[in-house]
Amino acid sequence: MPDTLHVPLLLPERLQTWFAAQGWDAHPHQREMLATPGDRLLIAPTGGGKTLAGFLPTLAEACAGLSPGLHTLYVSPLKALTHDIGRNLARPVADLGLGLRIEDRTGDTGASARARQRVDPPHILLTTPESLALMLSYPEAPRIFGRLRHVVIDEIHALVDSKRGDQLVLCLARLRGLAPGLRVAGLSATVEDPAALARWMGGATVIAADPGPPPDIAMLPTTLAPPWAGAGGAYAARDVMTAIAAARLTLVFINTRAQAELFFQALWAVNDTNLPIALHHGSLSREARRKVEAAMAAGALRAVVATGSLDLGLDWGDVDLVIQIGAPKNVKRLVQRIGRANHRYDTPSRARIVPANRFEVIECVAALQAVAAGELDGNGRVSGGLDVLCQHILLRACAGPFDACALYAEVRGAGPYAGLGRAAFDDCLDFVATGGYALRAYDRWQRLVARDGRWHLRDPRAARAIRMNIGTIVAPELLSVRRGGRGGAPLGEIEESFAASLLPGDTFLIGGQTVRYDRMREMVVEVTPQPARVPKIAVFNGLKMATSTELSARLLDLIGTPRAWESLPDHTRDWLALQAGISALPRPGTMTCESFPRAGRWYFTLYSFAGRNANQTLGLLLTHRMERDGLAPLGFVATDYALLIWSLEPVRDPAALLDAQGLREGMTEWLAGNAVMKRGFRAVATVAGLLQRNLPGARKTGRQATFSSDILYDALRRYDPDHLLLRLTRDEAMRGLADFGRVEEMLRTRPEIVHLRPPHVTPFAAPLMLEAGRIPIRASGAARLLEEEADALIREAGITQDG
Amino acid sequence: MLAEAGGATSLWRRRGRACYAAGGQAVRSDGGCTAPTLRAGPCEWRGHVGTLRSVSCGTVPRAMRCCALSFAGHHFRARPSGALYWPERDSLIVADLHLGKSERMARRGGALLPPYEVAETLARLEAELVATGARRLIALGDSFDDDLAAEALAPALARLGAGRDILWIAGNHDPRPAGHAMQGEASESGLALRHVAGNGPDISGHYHPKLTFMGQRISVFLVGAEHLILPAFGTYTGGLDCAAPVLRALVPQGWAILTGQTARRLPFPLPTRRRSRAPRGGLPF
Repeated sequence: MPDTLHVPLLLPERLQTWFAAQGWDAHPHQREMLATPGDRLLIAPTGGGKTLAGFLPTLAEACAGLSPGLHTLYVSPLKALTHDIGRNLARPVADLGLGLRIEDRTGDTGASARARQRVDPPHILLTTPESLALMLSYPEAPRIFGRLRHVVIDEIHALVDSKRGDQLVLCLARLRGLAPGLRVAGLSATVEDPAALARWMGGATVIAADPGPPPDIAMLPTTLAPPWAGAGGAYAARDVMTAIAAARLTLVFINTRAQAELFFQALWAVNDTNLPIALHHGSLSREARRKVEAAMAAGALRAVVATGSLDLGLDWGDVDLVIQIGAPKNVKRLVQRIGRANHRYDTPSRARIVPANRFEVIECVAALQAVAAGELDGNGRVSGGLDVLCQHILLRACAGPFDACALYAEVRGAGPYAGLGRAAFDDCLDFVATGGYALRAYDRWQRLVARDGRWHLRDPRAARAIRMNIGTIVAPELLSVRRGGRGGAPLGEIEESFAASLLPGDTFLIGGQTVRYDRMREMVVEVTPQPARVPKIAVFNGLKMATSTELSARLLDLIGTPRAWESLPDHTRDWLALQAGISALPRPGTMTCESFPRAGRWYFTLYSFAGRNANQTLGLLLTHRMERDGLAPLGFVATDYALLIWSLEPVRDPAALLDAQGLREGMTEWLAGNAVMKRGFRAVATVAGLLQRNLPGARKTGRQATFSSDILYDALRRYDPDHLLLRLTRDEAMRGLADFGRVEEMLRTRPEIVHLRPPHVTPFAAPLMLEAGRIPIRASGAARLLEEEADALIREAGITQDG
Repeated sequence: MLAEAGGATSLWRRRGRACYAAGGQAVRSDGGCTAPTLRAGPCEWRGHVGTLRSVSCGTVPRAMRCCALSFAGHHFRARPSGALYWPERDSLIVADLHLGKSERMARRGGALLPPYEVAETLARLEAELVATGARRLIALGDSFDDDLAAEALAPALARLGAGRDILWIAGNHDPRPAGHAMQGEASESGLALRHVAGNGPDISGHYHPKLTFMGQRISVFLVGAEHLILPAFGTYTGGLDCAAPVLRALVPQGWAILTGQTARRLPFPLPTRRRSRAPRGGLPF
């Protein structure tokens, strides 16, 4: 790195004067961002003036005067950030009299503003990856983006691991093709491997800011020991309240929306002095969230209980304490959350962690050690998703005819697609054009047709429907929740599957209040507030984040190394010692498992430390094999750390059960029919454009115009097992919800199986037996359950089947 | 959330030759029996999981049993596939085949769906005709997604019609008869057969009724005093929830018969005091 203090500040005089008037001095990394030619990636902690650094070249050029047309594009993963940045930029632009037009363009932008932006784009456009993809799909794209000089990508670390990121880099490659000479500035929080992130951007000079003082981070002392199982952290509500009272403004992070609702209630139950505390998560209505954000900005709050919706870089001004409830699951996320506290660059952030149960105590200690050692988790994904590429090709066709070779070359310019082979590209193109089926049924009705060596949309009218389905986030269907009566206030959203399980009179928590379900009307869930009732908790079935590979390894290491236990609280140390005495401790390199009887059942525990999703997959595979071997499994429960299976017969030979080849076969043959894989298929098929979420002119009548993706999955499995989308679904199963890649890795890295036969339940197994979320295995499957329920219903109704 | 652990496909064998796949996946609420060649004769169960305990209805395993029902003084058998058998007229009645749906979507520039649903629907239909031995087939409208589809399917349908009478009732998706004699509606033994329920008593389709039960959306027959409404038989079909006002108005009180593995009869509307939820099974304590 050059001696940054000697890098001249290439600011025009006007801008320098303005800086001086604010009493500011440019940080070295801000100078470097201005002085370094080409594409740059800035790694800086929160509060390091990242965004200003990204916009400095734009402001400098604007001082010399800009001609009309789009000059700078700002892309952020969050809509809320674009509003924020727009506000923050408005001030210097006004002070300097630059006369720049700054507009944002998100899903919230009105139709007339969008149309105007297409004809007459502003100088600076603030947008999201989805809106950018949409704009690039218009035939006017070359004219809109042709004179673009700068692209600023904010919070790039939040995009890199996702399909949204894949979409963004593909759009970036397109922009580079439309506007040669374009310069890209990536802005990121601390990451493990900046060089990899730079490659992801398609190559960039890495500029690292001074990371600032190390954070002040520790466990929050609690009066009670954490419970054996559970994830809510309610036991620590009073301790958290005390910490809130001692701080100016506290952010309380918790991992899921349902937990956030519950903890918020627990907190209010001990809020004796009525401190203003608010709740913020992604299932609340936009109005409710805006209110909380505004109150926070106005300094009217003392604490906010939040989930990931606040994870990204909003300007949190006066936050001076971050409390993380539950194990962070991922060191990177913990570090980024800590970064919320204290937006001043030169003072340490203060953060406290509250483990929700005994295993989490160890995970939290391991995470603290990782933070102290500066070790972050790596990035999971290596190459770009082909389903995203399919969508990109389809959108490219909406913008106008294209040449396949040119598009292939362009796509390879995007970091995650640098290694894309021509055959894979052609597979995607064939899927988009013809469906890619073994039975070539659509020769007359291809979606794309080749004419004069270029690919055209066969029916240009289809572009509208294609544009309506842009995006790579496949969320479960959500229903909005409103207070009953005409025009009742919106409260938030719940998942359709949860709504389907509700009966009139059931109560659930939303937005911190208990409501009673009244009825469903035109896809709106109508409720009545019922403060006195005990809620049936809202279940948000989203993908639960699993403890990262790196953190799991640290955790296993800590458990297996007794001399390192002094970093653990007494109660946890005693627990580990007890386990060592009765059974054995899991150690790196060994796969520890136990079989013991209890109350007429046999229990089999496997301390796999493979993460929740992989353990769940393992549970499905192992119980299937146990069923085959006549062990009569009855159910299992999976946590981030272990798997517990109960059965009528004991497991005698775990090595045979854990045989890698057999598990792999089970994965490809048997699990292929499972719900996990169907969910994976739905996501892939939606992104690739086979399933259309939104149809033009579709009314919300409650009638499903579309049908279940399971039907398509089954049809493909039966008739076209080698179809591109099935191949992609199998690839995806290696990570994500099925996470089979981690099962494989676990089997590889821990070859020695240690099987113990303790006489009774062990200290490690006891918390697992208390864990919620048991999955019953009925040899007869779900259909049998349904039969029994139907029989019971018939009996209760006092009728006979022949009635 | 991962409650479908028993979803294995069991294999039924008949004289050493695979003849019929059943079990968790092959038999679906929307698909019913997927066997292309379901024939009479003893079957040997070779599976390891499964509910198929005994065999009744000739070849049909007990779990695939039908549901007898009487409607407007006539006796019928609702089949798990979503087809209705009328012994008195020796007729198999189906609704909403939607043949050619994927091709129509493709023609209109939409998604290119897997082009296998026509073969799938016709195979299931043929299996049902063979299993019941019905002499007649009555299709209650929306048999073809549009007229072009009907033309393309002529050869396949000729095969299906060999040795049988087929009565095509017109639906809203069948714009004009295309080589098939199509009737607006028919009357048999005093019962009207039409696409959309009208003046009862009648047997109709159109709505694709679905019932949410035990957290699943299942295609159902809806049976009231005036109307018998069939589920959609076609493979690529969605459905309308039974709670929809239009269906509640047509069948204020009656039965819903589940399709899938077994045609089960439930009171409709479902009693609300009872929670339709899976009993928690296999608890460790």
